[in-house]
Amino acid sequence: MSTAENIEKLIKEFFRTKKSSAAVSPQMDEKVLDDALAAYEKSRINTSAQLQPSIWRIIMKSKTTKYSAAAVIVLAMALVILSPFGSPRHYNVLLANTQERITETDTMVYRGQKIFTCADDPNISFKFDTVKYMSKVYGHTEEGYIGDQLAYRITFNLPRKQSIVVLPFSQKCLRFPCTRMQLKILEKLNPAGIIDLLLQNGYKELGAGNIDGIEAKGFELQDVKSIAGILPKFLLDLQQGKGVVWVGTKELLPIKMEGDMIIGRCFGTGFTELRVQEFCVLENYNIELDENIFNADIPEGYTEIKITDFIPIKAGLAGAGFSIFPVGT
Amino acid sequence: MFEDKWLLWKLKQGSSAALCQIYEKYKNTLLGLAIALSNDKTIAEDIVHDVFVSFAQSVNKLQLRESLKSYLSTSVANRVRNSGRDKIKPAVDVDTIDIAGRDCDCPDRLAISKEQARQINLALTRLPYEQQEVIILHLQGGLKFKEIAKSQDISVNTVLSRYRYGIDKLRSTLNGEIKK
Repeated sequence: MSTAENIEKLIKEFFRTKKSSAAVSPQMDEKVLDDALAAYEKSRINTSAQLQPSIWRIIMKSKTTKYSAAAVIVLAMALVILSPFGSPRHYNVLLANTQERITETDTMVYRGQKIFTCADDPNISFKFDTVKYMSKVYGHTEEGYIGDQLAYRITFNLPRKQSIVVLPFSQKCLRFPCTRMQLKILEKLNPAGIIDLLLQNGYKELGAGNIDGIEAKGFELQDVKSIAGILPKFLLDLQQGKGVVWVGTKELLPIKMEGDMIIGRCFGTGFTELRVQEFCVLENYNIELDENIFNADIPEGYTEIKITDFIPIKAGLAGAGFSIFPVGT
Repeated sequence: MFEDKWLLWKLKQGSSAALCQIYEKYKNTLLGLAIALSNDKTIAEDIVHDVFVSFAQSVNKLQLRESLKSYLSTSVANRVRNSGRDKIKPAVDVDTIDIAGRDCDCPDRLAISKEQARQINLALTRLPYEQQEVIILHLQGGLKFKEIAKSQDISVNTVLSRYRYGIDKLRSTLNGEIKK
C-alpha cells in the first residue's frame, strides 16, 4: 500500500462504504421538503411582488425609460438578427467535427437571459429570460419573459419570409418582410449555420471548460466589427463586444453561447449607450417543434403598428425624452 | 445531461416539483459529504436541511457559475466550515458504517475491514482541515479540482497542493498499518 494511487483507491472505497450507510431518513425528507418548499413559495411571492410591477411602472411612467424600453425592444429585435457570434477564418478540428454533427440537427432550443443596461445609469436595466427556437425548416423565434410574463416574441418565418414582433404588454405587433440580408443571416442562425459562422473568421481558443457538468471547449470572438455593418450605424452602432461559444466535446454541439456588447448612441438604442449581455444554454435538439411557434400572423386582439412609426419626426426631441416608439399608444 | 439546467429553469418558473426532484437527486450524496466533512450525522442532517432551505430561498436570484452539484456540494462544505466542525475532531464511530468486508464480490474495488476503516477515518481527521476538505470533495463528492478551486476562490495549484500533501500524509500514516 505504498503508492498514492492505492491510497486514493482505498479512500474512495472507504467513502463508498461510508456513503452507503448515510441514507436520508423519511423524517428528514419530510422536514427538509416542508421547510424548503415553504421558503421557496415565500421567496416567489416576494420576488414577483417586488419585480414585475416596479419594472413596468418604470417603463410606462418615466419618459426616459419609456424611451429606453422602446429601444430595448428594437434592439432585442436587431440582436436576434445579428446574434453575438462572429465569423472565424482558422481551422479547428473540434469545430469542423461539430459542423458535420450539426448538419444532422434540425432543431435546437436554447434558454438563457438577455440584460440591457444603460451606460449612463446602470440602475436602469432590463432583464429578460429568453427562449430561442431554431428550426431549419420554419425559421427562428425568440421569446423574452419578465418573470412568467411574456414581454416580447420575435419571429422570423423562413417559408413566408415574414418577420413579426409581438408585444403582449401593449397588445401591439409589428410585421415586416424579411430583407435578403436578414434571411442570409437567419440561414446562418439555424443549427447548421452557427458553427459555419465560427469557422469563417478569427477566434481565440479558450481551452477546456466545464459547463454545468459537461466537458466543453470555448471559442471566443473578440471582434464583432465584422457584423457591425449589417444594419446602418444610425440604427445600430455596435462599438465593441465579444462572443463566446462553448462546444460540448462529446456532444459536438454548441452547448452554451455568451455575448457582451456595447452599443453606442443611435436610433436603435433610443440615443442611449447600452451594454447588452446575453447567454443561452442548449436545452434540447432534434425535437419536434410545433409550426405555430414560428407563426408570423397577427395575434387576435393585437393592433399592428407600421414600421414608419419608428421614424423620428425630429431627432432633436429624442434627447428630451420624446418617445419614438409608440409604447402605450 | 441538461437535466439540472432544465430543473433549475423549471424551478425559476415556479415549479415546486422541480425542487423536490433536485432534492431527491442530491440528498444522499450531500448527506454523505456532510457526514464525511463533519463526522457527525446529526450536524450533517442539519447542514443538508439548511443548504436546501437556503437554496430554495435564493434560487430566483441564483446565477450558477458551476454545475448544480458543485454548487450544492460547495454550500455543504462552506456550512461545515462555518459551523466550526472543521476545528473539531471527534472520535469516530465506524461501527455505524456498513463495511463490505474482504469477501466483497466487486473485483475492481478494494475491500476494507472495520479496523482499516477506523485507521483511515482517524488518519483523515488528523489532516489539516483544508487538505481533508479537498480530498473529501474530490474523492467522495466527485468534484473536479477546477470546480473546487472556483468555488473556494483559490487557485487550482493551491487545491492540487492541498490534495497532494493530504494524500502523502495519509500514505505515510497508513503505510505499514494497512496491508493490501
